[in-house]
Amino acid sequence: MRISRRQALRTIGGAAGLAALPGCTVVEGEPPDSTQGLSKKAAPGRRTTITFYSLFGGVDGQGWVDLATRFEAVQDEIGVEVVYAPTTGQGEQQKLLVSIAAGDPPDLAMVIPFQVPQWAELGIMTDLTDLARGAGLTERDFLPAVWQGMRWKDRVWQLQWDVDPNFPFYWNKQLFAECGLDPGRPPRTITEVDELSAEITQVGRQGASRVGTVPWQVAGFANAAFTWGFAFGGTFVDPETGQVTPDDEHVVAAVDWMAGYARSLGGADRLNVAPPTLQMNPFGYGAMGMAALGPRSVKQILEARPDFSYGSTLLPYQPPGADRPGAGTWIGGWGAFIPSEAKHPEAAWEFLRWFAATPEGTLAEFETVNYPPGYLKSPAMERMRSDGILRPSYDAMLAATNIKPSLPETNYFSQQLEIHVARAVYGEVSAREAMRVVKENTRREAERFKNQMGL
Amino acid sequence: MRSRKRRRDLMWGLVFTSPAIIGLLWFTAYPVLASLYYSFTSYTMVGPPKWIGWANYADLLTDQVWWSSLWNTVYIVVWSVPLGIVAALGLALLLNMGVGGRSVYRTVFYLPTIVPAVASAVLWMYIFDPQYGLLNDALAKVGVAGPGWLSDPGWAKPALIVMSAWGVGNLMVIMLAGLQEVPATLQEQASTDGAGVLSRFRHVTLPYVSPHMLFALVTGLIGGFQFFTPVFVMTGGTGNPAGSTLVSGLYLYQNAFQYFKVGYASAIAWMLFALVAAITVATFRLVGRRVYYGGR
Repeated sequence: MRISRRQALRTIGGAAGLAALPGCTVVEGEPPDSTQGLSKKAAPGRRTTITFYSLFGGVDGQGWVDLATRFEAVQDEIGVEVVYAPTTGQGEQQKLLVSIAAGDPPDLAMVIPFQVPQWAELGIMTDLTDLARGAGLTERDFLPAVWQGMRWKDRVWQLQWDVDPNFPFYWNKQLFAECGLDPGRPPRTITEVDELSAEITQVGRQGASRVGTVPWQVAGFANAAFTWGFAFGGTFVDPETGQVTPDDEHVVAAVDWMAGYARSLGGADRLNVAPPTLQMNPFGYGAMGMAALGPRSVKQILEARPDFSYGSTLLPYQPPGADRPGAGTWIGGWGAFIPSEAKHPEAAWEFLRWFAATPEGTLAEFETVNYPPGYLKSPAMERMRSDGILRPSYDAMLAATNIKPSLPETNYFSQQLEIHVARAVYGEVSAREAMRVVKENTRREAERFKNQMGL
Repeated sequence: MRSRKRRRDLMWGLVFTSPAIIGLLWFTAYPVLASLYYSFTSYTMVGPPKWIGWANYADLLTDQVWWSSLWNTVYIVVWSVPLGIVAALGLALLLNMGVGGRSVYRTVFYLPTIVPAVASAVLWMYIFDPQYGLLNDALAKVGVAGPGWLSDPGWAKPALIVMSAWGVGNLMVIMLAGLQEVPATLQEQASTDGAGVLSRFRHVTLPYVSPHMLFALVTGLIGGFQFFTPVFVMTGGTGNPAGSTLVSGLYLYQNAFQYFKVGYASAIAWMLFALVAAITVATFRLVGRRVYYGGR
């Protein structure tokens, strides 16, 4: 019997349909919040339910769900709904911004401390000064740089729950020994970094196959400018006028040093020191002698190479602008704030204060989300001090006195530094010219923002 | 009687198309008009917009970052659009040659088009890696030391242009359709008259695919000025290295979501629209008259 093509297709289609039918069923109940465990509903039966936007994915995001659950366990009045609201690009919180624009923000959300002046001036944030005062929170409760980042115009706008000291300085002991250097003696100054680099660096026809360090690979060119600019003793803001000063002579010297270092490697784009996976930090691959790193990068390196032999110290400095190791360290991290149109500000404050400024809450945050707190009375501080991987961050954290410039135009300033510091490092312009352009553009932008906001 | 029926048909027609009409009005027409209004205001997404007239447009004229982003965009468009057309036409010509397994080749060449933009951007980051990337590895095999591509300000834009040729599958299908419209009798006649391969291509094939090439040119220009996703993914929204890939679309995004200058971002959007509209009209005027529509 011959079967036509149409009959064959019809038979196959029919059979597939019949096979699929038993799979059809009425789904009851609500779909799960998230298959990744990054969101959660509030515990039932609470007097007040607050909404919290969590912007972290992976284990960090799951940590926030755990942290909110712990908060619900230590009291029975407030339920916390965690909504996963990831960032894009350079940390833009689109979901949060849209919810604020629509007049329906969450009760609690995240903020990068240097964004506080801009967001406070825009009227997005609730002034927490009275709440903080009522809770007895003072300058003495926080690291100095953290207290500085929580405030704008003498008011408190956010509580910083995560402290990211940028950066402890690491060196590869094995590579030091291979290069005939003393593996027990790290550099203290930038001049010493240069001297050690001269012994380590190997540049061939294809570019650098071994380097002392890569100064501009510090979480972007803008962050590199802040890190080494502070390490040279530079300042980025004139305290009198509140205007940016990227053309400060020490900042220019720092950018000039990075540009010179790139030239010594045959160009910033001629580096062949990355690991083949392109995921692990290049320092862990073994072809880089020294690096300014965060603890997470170190943890990742040790997961891949448990036998990696390294040492850590405070960030080298450069006299005469700076006078001690660690002088360049600055504090980054995350804070949390209550949007000005939040429906339950008091309940949101209770949760915020618990995880950012109480001993038990900060410890719970450290155990779940696992970020270092900025609250000095936190038991997590002692845990960091006694942890091999976190100890360098702990030391750097205590040494840090700087923060990124806290100005309404800091986002724009950072973006300008990202472009023009890179231009200097790639040899397109001189460091001085690059910083002049950054200053000119940023000051123009600041003027525009002030006019726009009627400040 | 007839007019009553027509009115009833019209009413039901509108009823059945109303979801689409409402959707277009609400999700397209309203945002478009709102952005035009915002472009004349100072608006931060918070609080009411403040009318400032042409100030945003005047600011654009003196904004060095805007001009630099426009230059980057034009550079990419000027190279990637012709490259895309040539690559698509080349592939279509190969597929039109009557070789065996054509459908397999067609699928292979079309496949990149259906890869999500983000996934292909990540893939190309690996291809362009100066140390371990496929591209520099291939260049090294022929004795060429490859550049730093995305980590070199001088090569980052060419890298994006190379990458853009990866997604020519759609154009290739359109070109192929055009090639299949070329009458075989004309080719035969030209051949009988002694026309060689190049001559037949120049005088027979090319005129028949010229409408498709015009279509590719116009849509390519419009799409090129909206270039965004690959740069956003590959540079994390910075336009690195050294601002060499900061295209206008990315600068618009930065203004809206990083600097809260929604009014200014809207002005950028409308400037881009005006530019694209002007270029499209000019293209039709300059190129359109050279297009052959089969004698019609």
